[in-house]
Amino acid sequence: MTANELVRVNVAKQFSKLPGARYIRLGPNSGELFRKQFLLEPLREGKTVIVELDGVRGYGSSFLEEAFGGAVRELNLDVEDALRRLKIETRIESWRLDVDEYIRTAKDNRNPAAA
Amino acid sequence: MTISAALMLETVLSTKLVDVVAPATTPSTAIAPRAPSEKTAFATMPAGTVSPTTPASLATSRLNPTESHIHVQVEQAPSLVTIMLPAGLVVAGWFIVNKTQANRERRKQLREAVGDLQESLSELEKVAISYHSAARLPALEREIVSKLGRFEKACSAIPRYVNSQRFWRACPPASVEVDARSIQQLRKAITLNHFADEHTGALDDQDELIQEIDLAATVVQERLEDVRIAALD
Repeated sequence: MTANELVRVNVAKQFSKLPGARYIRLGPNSGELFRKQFLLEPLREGKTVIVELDGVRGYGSSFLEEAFGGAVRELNLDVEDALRRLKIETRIESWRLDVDEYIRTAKDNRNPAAA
Repeated sequence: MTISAALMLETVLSTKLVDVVAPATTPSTAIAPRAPSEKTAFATMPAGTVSPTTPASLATSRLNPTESHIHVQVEQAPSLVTIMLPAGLVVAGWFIVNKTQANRERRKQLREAVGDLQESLSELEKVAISYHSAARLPALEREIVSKLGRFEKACSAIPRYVNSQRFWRACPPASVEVDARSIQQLRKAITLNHFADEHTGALDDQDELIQEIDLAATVVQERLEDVRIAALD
């Protein structure tokens, strides 16, 4: 598998239009659940994941941090590699900036409250 | 050629001089008198004379003493340019006025949309501060995420008010973009820490997080005001 292989994930269609909190134990549609269902496996296989964020009610920063920053932490990805293989598609620039920041600072943000 | 024919020519020919040769016996008064101010001038010249402007090809007529050389200047019919220019100016004027009014209306709509966003932001800030300042309320978390999502979507839609125009835009596109970085800071201040499971209890209103939310909201309000000012007439 190479980074040239693309996996496209549409959050609203494939996951939920109502993304929830950070951890699975806090309720449905959490960032942790999204990471486990859609991000870890393709990233582990060296694929590029394109995540379409639009079409949902909204995101809490904790959801985005746990989904994307959490993937970088869990797979111990190099930041440049993660930025190259985790691509965001959205019309809302603040969401893109948010994800970009959480990927860059993932390893500084290890949350002691993690489940 | 008769005089009447010459008069008819007046309406159809160009301003070039037309020389009409008439019998010498034709009285000059037979020609319809015209006011001196009229552009078209008729002149009866003595037989054997040639107007200075007479084409050389007609110069031979002066050799014939029996003919009077009538010099007729016929006004040129309006050319295509002289007809189309005023019409074109009228159309261009209409277009400019129409487009200016449409852009003014678009800027008005834009200001109203920004005004609505400023109200939404004030409401969002109020709800967020009340959430962090009280015991955890999961229903309020959903409301905050929902309000924040709607606010972000509406902010990202603002530039489309002018980006949908192909030319002669109501405002420069860059001037109506709400700074995404400031919105991101607002979202982080509200939902990154002390949110959901991390909500450990009511925060004091002097708490750093509350101050951070207040500051981030103020910055976004300022960015929105910049957009509103850019959309003034």
